[in-house]
Amino acid sequence: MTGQKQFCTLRVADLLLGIEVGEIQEIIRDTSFTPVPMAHPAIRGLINLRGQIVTAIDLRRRAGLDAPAGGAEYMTMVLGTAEEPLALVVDSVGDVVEVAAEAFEPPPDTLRGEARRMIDGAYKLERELLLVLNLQVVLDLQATPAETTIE
Amino acid sequence: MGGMSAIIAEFLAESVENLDSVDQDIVALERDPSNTEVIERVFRTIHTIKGTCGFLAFSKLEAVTHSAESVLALVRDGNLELTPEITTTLLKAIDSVREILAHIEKDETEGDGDYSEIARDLDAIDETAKKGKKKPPPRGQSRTAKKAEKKPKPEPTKKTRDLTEEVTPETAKRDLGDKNPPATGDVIGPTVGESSLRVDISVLDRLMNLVGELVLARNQISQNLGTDSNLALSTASQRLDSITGELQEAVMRARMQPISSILSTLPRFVRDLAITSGKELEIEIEGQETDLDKSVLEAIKTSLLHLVRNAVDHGIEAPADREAAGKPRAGKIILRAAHEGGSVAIEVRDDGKGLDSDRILERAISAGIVSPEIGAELPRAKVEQFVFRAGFSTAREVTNVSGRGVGLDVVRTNVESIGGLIEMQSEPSESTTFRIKIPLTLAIVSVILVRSGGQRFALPQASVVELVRLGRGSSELGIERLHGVPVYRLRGRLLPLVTLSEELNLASPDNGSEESIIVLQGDNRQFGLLVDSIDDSQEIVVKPLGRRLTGLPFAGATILGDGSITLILDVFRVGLSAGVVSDGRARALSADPTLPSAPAPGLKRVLLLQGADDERMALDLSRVSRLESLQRGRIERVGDNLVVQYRGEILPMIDLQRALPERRTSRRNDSSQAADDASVVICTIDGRSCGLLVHRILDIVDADLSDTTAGSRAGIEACSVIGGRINEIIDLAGVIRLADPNFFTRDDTAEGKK
Repeated sequence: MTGQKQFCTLRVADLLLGIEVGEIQEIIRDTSFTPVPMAHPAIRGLINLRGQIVTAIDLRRRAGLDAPAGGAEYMTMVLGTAEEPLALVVDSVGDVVEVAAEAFEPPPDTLRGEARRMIDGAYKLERELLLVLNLQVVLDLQATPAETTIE
Repeated sequence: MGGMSAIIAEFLAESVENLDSVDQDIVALERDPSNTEVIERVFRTIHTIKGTCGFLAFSKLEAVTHSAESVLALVRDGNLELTPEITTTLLKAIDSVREILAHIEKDETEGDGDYSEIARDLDAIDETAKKGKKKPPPRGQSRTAKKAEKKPKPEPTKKTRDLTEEVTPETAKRDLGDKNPPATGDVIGPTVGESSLRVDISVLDRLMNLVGELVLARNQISQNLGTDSNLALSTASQRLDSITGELQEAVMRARMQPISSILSTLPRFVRDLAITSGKELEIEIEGQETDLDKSVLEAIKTSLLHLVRNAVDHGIEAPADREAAGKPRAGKIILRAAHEGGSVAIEVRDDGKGLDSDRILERAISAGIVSPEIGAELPRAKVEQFVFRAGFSTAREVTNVSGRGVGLDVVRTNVESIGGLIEMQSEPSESTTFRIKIPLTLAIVSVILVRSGGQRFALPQASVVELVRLGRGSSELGIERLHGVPVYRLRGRLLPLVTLSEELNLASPDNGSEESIIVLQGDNRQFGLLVDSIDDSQEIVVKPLGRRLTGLPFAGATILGDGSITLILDVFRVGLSAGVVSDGRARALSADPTLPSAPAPGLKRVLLLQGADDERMALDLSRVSRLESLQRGRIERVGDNLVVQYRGEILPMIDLQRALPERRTSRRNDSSQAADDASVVICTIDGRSCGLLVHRILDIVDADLSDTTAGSRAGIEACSVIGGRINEIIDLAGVIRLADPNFFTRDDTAEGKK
């Protein structure tokens, strides 16, 4: 047992994704976004987190996935470790799961495009695959011009 | 500075601070060598640095300071006259010390620089002085005793101060920025230690942020309270309100620094300039105690240095020229700072030759900024404004000091970027004055809130010139198109317009919902921003945007009382991306700010047109009612005539190119057909309107049409030179008759339909 790792699970479209628990500061519901015109399309807008202005990145748009149906639920995960206040907008947030570090596998070949770059690897859970997000890639909007994220 | 030991950090902070005053002191000392207070202070500073660095094992620094100390000791004891050469060497030594200190701050080493030369120079001075004197002073033996007996009357040294000979002792007083004469007063007292303490800037920044939050929280409370009539709560809220206000003020004060903190380098700076330029200079500083937010100070520091440099290079004449003009040999630069309401005004004034408006005009014309005709009519003050243009320089040659053309425009951009204003005033052969007006602080700004494309934005008040309200369905009200740019006629001047929702790619629910124009000042040029509505004005706390949102036309964001976030527009960048600020098209339009509201007597305002073969034509502007850009598809053919449906009327159209008799035999390349939009000049003649289809609209200028030659073809009244090119002046009635002989006699359809 070299160690257990704890991941916070979240869903975007039909993907089960994981972010290490330590990266997450808090999870909020019912946020309203102030859109930023001319910004990178993955930027959903700005949120007011107790007086702090946080830039929210929409993970769906970031991964080049279709926008959800209007009025669909979403949740906002505020990241605690970034050099500036940032948040990820996801479809839903699930449980925290604990996995053995050794069970880590490379990402499945079925993933394509921008989504593939954003995944570090996977853990096999009982019923499905937990894909671990590479936050560095996700948050780096510069490296991927807007066009390439939309397939 | 992460792992730096506390001792070194303390040593650096103290030394750097003291060195700033040393520069000033040495220059003052050169002028008034008898001032023992000053020499003592310089000596003490250098001595302290030497002592500490010996302890910290910085050997290079120790060597330089040791040699400098020896020279200073000689000066102090009256055994050495402070000649300009020695002063320069001492200043160089101070620079070396600074350089080493900067190195230490970076990586705690002294760096690879070789400072033995400066130490040798200093030692050489030391040697010569000691040899020259019959009885070298017993060094170090009785420093204090010696000082005590020297103090009453040190030998004033006069002979060698040729460079600043005319400088009276009172200049030294100004340098030190104190009302007390330096000979008696303790100028910059070393005894402030007990009542003040050094605080890290980041602590103050954090305080400022927290106060900003508090202001927001207070706004939220007082806004939500309106509905509730709980007396105790509202009393408490009022108290909170006033305390927050005071706290905000107090924290802002804590961040303030007297402007002297950035001006202390000026005397030295001016001295160096005097030497390199060969001019004689004096600097006078008033209002050193005026305080400003630290971030504002940092932002204007280089601009001020630039203005001083500019005054030396462009303003102040060579000593001989000044004498010939009956002025004192030494040019004087006065720097004056003062509070003015909520802002600070800083003035840089020189008593030099003033601006040479003829030269400026000459340069402006050769740079294509203005045409000779317009230029000749411009008032002096307008011509002088050209110096704020990018790349503008009138210096005949590039000198070490200035003249590279990157100058005043950068200063202006800097000042405007922090919400300030810059003005200039010049009296020929007397003076040039630059006036900068800047806000006290950058953290809290007053903005107006506007709405566009369903979103709310904040605009800094500082850049707003005026607000214009249009009626509903504004798109038809007074807004015209020129070169495809919408313009608004504001008191006879054409104001280029930018539609905010278009500029930000906002989906506007219905086009033309804009009801208000905000007239903005950016890059020395005004433009109008079309917005849906203007809501409110407010004091807000600016918060920076994240790194992922740079490069956008926003200066930051803020949280309003209701908790919503509003983006703060960067006016300059909006104008830039819309092309009204520096684009060539705007340059053509820029005749606007320089074009007086009525043409000067003897001149006629004309519309300049370009034909398909680049020939130029001009049309009397009084005939022109509007300029339009119409889709070609809208132009229809009825019989032999072209018409367009225009504002519920049928407007007859005349293709200027086709109407005029052809003079050339080869086929014209009819490129005008290629574009989707056609430029149309709507004219009125004899109470009838018609549209003149032209190839391109160029500009509106005031032209002298008294000297003309007869036109060479029908439809052309005359030919005249405008803007260095021959222009055919269109005979509108003639052209119309050529195209439609019955135009004036027909009981025509257009009128009939009305």
